[in-house]
Amino acid sequence: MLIDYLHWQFVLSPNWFIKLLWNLERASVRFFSISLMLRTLLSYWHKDAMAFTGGSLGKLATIILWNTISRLIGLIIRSAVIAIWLVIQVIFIPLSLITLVALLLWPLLVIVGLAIGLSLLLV
Amino acid sequence: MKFQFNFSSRRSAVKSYLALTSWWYEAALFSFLVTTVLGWSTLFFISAHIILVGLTIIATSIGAGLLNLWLFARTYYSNQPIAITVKEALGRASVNFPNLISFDFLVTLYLSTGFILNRDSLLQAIRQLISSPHNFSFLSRLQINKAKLAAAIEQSVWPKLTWSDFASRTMKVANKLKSDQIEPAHALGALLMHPAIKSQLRSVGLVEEDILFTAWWQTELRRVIEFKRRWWDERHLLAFSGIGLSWASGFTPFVDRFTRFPRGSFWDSVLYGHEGKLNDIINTLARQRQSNVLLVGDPGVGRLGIVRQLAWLIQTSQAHAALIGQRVLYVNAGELIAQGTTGASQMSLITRALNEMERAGNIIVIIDGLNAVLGETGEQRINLTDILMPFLASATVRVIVLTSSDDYHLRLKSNEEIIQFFEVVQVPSLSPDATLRRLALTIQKIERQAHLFVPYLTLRALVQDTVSILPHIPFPERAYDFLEEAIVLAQNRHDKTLLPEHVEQSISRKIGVNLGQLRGREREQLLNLEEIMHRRMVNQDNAIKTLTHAIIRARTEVRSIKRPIGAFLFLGPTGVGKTETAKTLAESYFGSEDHMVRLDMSEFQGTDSVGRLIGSANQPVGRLTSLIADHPFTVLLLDEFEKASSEAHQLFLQVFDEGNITDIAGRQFSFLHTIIIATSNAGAELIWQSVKDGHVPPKFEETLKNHILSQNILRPELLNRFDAVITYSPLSMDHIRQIAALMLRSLNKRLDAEHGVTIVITPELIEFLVSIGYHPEFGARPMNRAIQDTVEFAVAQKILQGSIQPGQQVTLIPAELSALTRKS
Repeated sequence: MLIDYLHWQFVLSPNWFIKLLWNLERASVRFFSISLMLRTLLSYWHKDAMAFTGGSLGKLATIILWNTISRLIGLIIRSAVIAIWLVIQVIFIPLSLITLVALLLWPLLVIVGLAIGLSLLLV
Repeated sequence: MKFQFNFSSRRSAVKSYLALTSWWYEAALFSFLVTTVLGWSTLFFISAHIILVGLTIIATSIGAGLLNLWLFARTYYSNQPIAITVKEALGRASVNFPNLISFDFLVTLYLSTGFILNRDSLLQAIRQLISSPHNFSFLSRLQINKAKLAAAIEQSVWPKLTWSDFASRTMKVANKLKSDQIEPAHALGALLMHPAIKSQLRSVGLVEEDILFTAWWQTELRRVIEFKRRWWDERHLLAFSGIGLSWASGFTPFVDRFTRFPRGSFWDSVLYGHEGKLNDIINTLARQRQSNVLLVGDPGVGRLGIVRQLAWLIQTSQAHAALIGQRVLYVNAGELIAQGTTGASQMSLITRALNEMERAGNIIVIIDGLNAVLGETGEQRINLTDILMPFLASATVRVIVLTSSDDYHLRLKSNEEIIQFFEVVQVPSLSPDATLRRLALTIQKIERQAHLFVPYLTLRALVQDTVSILPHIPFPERAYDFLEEAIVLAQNRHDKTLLPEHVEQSISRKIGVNLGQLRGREREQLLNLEEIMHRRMVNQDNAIKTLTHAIIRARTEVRSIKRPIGAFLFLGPTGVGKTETAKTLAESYFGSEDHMVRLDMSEFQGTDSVGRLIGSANQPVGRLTSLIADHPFTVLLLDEFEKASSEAHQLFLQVFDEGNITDIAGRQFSFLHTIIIATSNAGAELIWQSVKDGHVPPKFEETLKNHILSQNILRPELLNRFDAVITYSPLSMDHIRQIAALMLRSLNKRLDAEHGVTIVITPELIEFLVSIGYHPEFGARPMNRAIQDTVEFAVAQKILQGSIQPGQQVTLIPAELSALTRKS
């Protein structure tokens, strides 16, 4: 049983946890569509753009302005999504690492806890 | 194969597991966890005395340690891969049985035997398997009483069973179900399939296939539950739609007004039997060009279930990398077109919708019925075809068209212009086996909603009893239709279990045939068939004997489920009772002469014979298929069978072999509940020469068969498919006398019922009728005419004259009748 336990505690569990973290990371990238957001960062918002089919300079300027606004809306919203994802990463990654370390040290933490508890009682 | 039973490598694992998951361990764990919560709460909110801090830390540490070990026990052992799979073990000369079995089964064995294997421990293991919670559902689905089963197995199976035999049978079941490891359900299945208990199970209507199916069902459900529990699996964690996938694509405000996915059914949620079709669609849609799909299948076959699953897979980005970010729109084309009042405005609406979808660039559009868009009229159809083609050719819009088999075969298939842009995916009616499996996998949801328990035999009845009826409704819809009706029936009666009787009654209400009565009566009818038939038939003892024996043999011995009840060839001269036999058989077997349908096969001699029998592009409804659709429980009489074309004969070869045929639209028609009787005058000359006074010479059937083959009247493969070839002997004058008496008795019944009068059947009257109605070459047929022209006419005259009153008996004098014949 001891060998089984050690195998589980120091090989299988951390392995499972790392896979879980990796899947959660992939899920977050997919949920926020990060790859698509980066690829289409400067694209029109919902393809909402006008084509210049001739006319005055004023009309051309209006079209350029409108298309720029469409791109700007897209840029702002997509940037916001990427920013939210980055904030989540900043919290998620350190927390994951701490949890992983705690998981690896679980038996040790139990022993240390018992030692501290007993020492406090004996003091 | 030799089995070893060395448990040493897994004994400690089982002991550790049982210790770390025992109730006392879990109680201790729970206590420490509660103490931890209380301790820390006290420290934070009441007092942080040093001793209390020390005790809380100790309790927390012990709780954490216990939790750590508990998680280890719960997750480690049951997920350990087995040392060798069942498939691998089959190729070996010797195998250690404990290495093949699942951890659950190992625990079950330990609890009952302590891994000490002897005769007594085998009995304990059997008892443990029967009472194990793993097998609770197995037995309740089969509605087998645990105590009775335990007693039956103890009495019949256990004395003959050894541990090696038990291991071998269990492994065979696991292998049949393509399982890697042996589960408790496989072991119970093996016990139930033991030959020693076969007859007991048959008495409750169960055979080996039923046990095997239930074992599959239980392991499959367990697998599904296990998968649902694995929340960390990437298939769960990644199964959602990302935000902003459509931000780079265009809006479709106009099309969105006409898009609405139809409500689904429970059975849509499981795609059993259609997985391949879904893959075909995904592969087509993922192509760069020609990525349009024509999904051909009749309503009820599960087309909507397939596109619903497709939409879900695309939405959750699980279908294909090329389809990520695509939107699946189910467009109600009829509603869209209804917005326009003229042909031109309708075309403009369609163009607008198509433009919008193309501009959006991420649309997969589903249209139910291309005819709704193309219309039926010629000119409009041409214009719309021109409009549609560029969109179908474009890579930005993908189109899935749902169409019925009829529409595809009769209209679309010939439209080369349109069809070239589509990959055709045909969805035929689900097979009975796949329907049963889909029912089994969806039944829990239905049970929860209906508050009913559905045992296995009910599911089997839903498929087996409906397989040959209502062929225009495909499986699985047909089975689910009857399931819904049976549920309502059970709910109205406040029953808690849905029984096969509920299904039988819902079928009876729908098609007018009481299956329960038919089955109940069948045994008795079979035993007395010969006697019942003799009551109506004169002479032909040999024919009736051969026929009844063949039916009994076909029904009780080697009856294949995939064949008609029986297929017989009646040979004999005209008027000797071939048709009468068919009528008598319909009455005695199915309860009424109305259960006989007739096809004159001399009408099917041309090259179009098959088309006329099962339907063709010009004539969608076939004579044979429509007859069998309307009369699934019937005697099918094929008159003058030899005159049909060889193509028609070929068609019947399939019917005799497989018990079904498929029509032009891909619908399957079942002959499982039919008795097929082909009649022929072929060989009549030989019969006249050889059969004297009703005595058929020994082995005459063989002589007749050889005659038919030598004359090329029927092909040998067809002749050999008949369950029996039955010879009818010519009728003598004495037989005609008996027939005349039978016919007069039958006339009396009619007269009594309609006018309250009867005629006196005297020997003189019969002799008179024989004198004018006996023509040996036409058999009994002229007798019918003779009775009509004389007796019936005379009685009708007397009724009109008012010379006889209700309740009177009329004595007809031959001289008077003779005068009538002279007049006529």
